[in-house]
Amino acid sequence: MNIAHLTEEQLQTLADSTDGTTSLEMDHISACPICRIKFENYQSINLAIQELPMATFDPDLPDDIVNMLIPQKIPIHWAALVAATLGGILVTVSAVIYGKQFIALFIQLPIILRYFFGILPLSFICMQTVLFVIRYRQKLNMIIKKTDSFAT
Amino acid sequence: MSTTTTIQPDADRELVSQILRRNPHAFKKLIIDHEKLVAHFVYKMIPVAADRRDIIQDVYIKVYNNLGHFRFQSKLSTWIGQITYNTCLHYLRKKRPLLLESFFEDSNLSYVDYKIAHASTNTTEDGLYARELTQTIAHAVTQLPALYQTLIGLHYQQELSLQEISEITQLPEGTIKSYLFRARKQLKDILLKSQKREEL
Repeated sequence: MNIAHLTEEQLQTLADSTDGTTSLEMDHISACPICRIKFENYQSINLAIQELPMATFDPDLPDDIVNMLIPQKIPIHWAALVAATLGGILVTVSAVIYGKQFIALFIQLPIILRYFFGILPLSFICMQTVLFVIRYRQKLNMIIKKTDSFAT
Repeated sequence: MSTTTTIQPDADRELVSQILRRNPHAFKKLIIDHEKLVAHFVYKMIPVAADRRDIIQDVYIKVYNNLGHFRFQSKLSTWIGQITYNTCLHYLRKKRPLLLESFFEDSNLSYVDYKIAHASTNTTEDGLYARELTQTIAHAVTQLPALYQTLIGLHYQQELSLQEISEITQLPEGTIKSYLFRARKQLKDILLKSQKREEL
């Protein structure tokens, strides 16, 4: 048995990894209770640190970052938008051409159809306009963030 | 000590190429894959909880903007670690110069908020002992200087090698080895002191 006790550095290196350890040092540890206790203490500390809980992000943060940098495109239903616009134009032109006759015909329609032809195209156009604004704001936020990042 | 980054270089290349094609799912995967590393730096180095979210966003903006210039000369995790470390240092330099000074000194900044309460719900005796030990170690770790806390976490929790830590922090390997030695020694002394207090 080697009489000289191992240094703190040797003990830490041994406890940290088996790389670079010599059998002489391990022989000493198995034979010397003082060094063995110190070695086991360092091993316990290392293991306990590994077991400590790790910090994590807020759950919504990854999605926020992704949406800021790569905004998901909200699909625009072009066909429906064009159909609604054409329908609106057709109704307006008909009203201008046929005047009172057209209004009388419209009033004779059941109430559901009146809403369908009158309000639906209008609300659809409004909805698409709102979506346009949202997408514009997303792009604007991204540009602001990128500019801030470059500035720093 | 071996690294445990689960991402392989080929997988990294594929992930990066997907992100460069503006694939949001790939970018989210990158964020989640490196969450613990980035969170470790930010939670250890930034004392103001309200600023952490902005700093994390800033880190990923830099990652996203510079990903096209990444040449795979190091591991992706090392590169992201470098960006995070430098972003945190930049924040401290700009907004908290005194804290930056203390980060590199042996001060007692105990601002790590580990979620100890959720560490273990085991009700067996072993579980209780393990939880008590975890709490004791966690408390002892918070008494270390912030730089030591960061390095200890990188080495043992993130399982980064000395070379990788050196690449990230730009500190020489020998210096990191010496800091880790001092950190472990201090940790042992803190634990021994607290044990003696309990025995008294």
